[in-house]
Amino acid sequence: MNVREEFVEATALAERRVVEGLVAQAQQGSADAFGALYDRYQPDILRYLTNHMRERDEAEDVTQQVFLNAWRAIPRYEQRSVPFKSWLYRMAHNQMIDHFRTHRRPTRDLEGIDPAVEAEAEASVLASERRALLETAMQRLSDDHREVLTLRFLMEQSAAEAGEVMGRKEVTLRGLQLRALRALRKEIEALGGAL
Amino acid sequence: MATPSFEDVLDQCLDEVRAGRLTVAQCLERCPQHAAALEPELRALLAVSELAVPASTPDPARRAAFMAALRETPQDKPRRPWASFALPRLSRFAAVFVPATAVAVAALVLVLGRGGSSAEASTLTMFAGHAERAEGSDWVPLQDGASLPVGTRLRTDEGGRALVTFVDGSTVALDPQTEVTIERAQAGRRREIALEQSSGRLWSQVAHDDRANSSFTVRTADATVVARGTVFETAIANGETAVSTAEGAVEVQTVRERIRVAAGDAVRARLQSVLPRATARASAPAALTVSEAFVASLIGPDGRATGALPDGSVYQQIPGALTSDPGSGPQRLVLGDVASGEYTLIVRRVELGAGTLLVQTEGRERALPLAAGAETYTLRLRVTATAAQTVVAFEGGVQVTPTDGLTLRERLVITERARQALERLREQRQAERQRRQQQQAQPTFSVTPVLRPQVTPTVPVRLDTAPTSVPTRVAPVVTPTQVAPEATLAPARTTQPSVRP
Repeated sequence: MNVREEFVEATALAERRVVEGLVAQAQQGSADAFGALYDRYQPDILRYLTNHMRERDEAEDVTQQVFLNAWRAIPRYEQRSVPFKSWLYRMAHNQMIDHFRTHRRPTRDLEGIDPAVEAEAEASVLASERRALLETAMQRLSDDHREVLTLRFLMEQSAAEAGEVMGRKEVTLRGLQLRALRALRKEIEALGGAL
Repeated sequence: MATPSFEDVLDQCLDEVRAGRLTVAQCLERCPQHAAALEPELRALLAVSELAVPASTPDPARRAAFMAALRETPQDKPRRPWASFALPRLSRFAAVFVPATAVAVAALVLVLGRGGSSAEASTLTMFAGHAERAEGSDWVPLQDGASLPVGTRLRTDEGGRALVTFVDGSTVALDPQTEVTIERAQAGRRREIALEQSSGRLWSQVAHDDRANSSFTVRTADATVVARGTVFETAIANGETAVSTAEGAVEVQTVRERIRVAAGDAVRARLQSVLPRATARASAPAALTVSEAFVASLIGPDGRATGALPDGSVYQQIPGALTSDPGSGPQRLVLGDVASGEYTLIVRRVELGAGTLLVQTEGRERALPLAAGAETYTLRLRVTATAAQTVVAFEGGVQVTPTDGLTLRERLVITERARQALERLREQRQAERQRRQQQQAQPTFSVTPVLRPQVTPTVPVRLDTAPTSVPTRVAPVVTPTQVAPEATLAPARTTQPSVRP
């Protein structure tokens, strides 16, 4: 391991310690400490939810609710069980499922393209169509498949990190991601698209 | 060695392609036996990546609303561990000790935050004493690592030494009994940081920002200091504000005047008038220079640090101390009007090869050779700053260790924006290096630094000993070409105010 790798490892360790300190304070009721945790993780959680929900405003509301739930539940959180960040992701996932249960799940299909878009340049229309097709294919995947692709390729998490969020071993997650990619290709082909 | 499974190979390729280190074609070339099976999966990865939502900065209004809602929301009761029934005394001990230890460890080692995740909030790092913030007519204690939203008014006590890191990576060091209000702190479309200083001394390191209308201002009752990328000090005492620039230049504005204060210059202002005589700081600085294979970091008696890390991060937290950017030549640390006391110098390797630590103090130069194999040198220094000069003397020996990676002592808050800026700088330098290499048309053989841990026993070094007495550690004076240009902490020149037209 060279100096740079050592440094990366050291900073990761230090980051973990800082977060542990903030979590400990938040568990004692410090709103400021929880505010610092909010500043650290809110953009990631919002991005994760937006990636899943595709509706920014809705994702913003769910994100706020996730952090309020986390504030409520943090005294019961055990640092040894799962990293705090992964704990937040799990809460976000559960909150999103609750949200979809009580609200109609947004669906998009190829017919749903805004006619105004069609008036735009052909390249732009093609890009929009491709995006709509990809989104539809993603929506048709099982929850597990969609989750693993979101964490790995939209949130750029490592297999180990995604495994922690999903409660799977790293090796299991690698198998899952392969199946998810294959399922996605199948859906894209079923929708008449190609990679 | 077991043959990696297809899932493992795919996982590695996915990471490489996603990170942009390899193209799909390059991945397939590397794994010809899996190429046919890999290609469709990698194409699927690229397709999914098209859906990624870019990161965004949070809305300050939403944060404020969230914090208001949070204060209204009660927390659940903590989980009661089974052991607490059996060992009530131990559990009480743990309840106090464990969180305190976690906080203490976090405070002692390093604070590496993602302050960039917030457009507005700045981060507090405490080095000594206490700080508190105003809440209505009360003052409430601030913890190390606290988030400081816009509008925060904070002050340090008589022993308080603190650092505020803003979203763009700029920092302000607060001396004891300093009070400041964060009036604005944003770095989105343009950087706009505004502070109101009511008392004490601030040492501001302003991150460079080329964007039009970017501003960093410190306002006192006497004047407003406007900076872009620079290092300067503002001190309020005896009913006036002294402004001195250590690096770059600042503009001091009053209702009548607008004065440029360049590096080494100082001015005083009282009640919106610049005083005719400048505050001169005429002490001769000391300097430490390391060759390009190394970077150096100086840690002050209270833990504040000035220097650079191997990843290219540059920080200037110690009032009166400056560092050059190691990316632009041998790194030079200049100690001017710093606090006297015991300092620690850590010299870390970044490239293969031997080097030199050149010490310039009291008009003399001494050179310490830095061995080719050693990774990290830790040296204790006694720094004495008087009105006339700053003197550096070494205390004890030189400790040479394989690496100090896990005991990093600098305490930095690296914001997302600063990290991105550093990444861009690194890419620019890499491109520049490649361009130079191509121009030189040399054989394209390069050696990747492989830094092997190598422990060398502590060797006592005395700089006042004749070089020949410790030939392996002390070498003759190095040639002047190894030394960076003269420090900017030169004696201050008097700046006469000019009247704004």
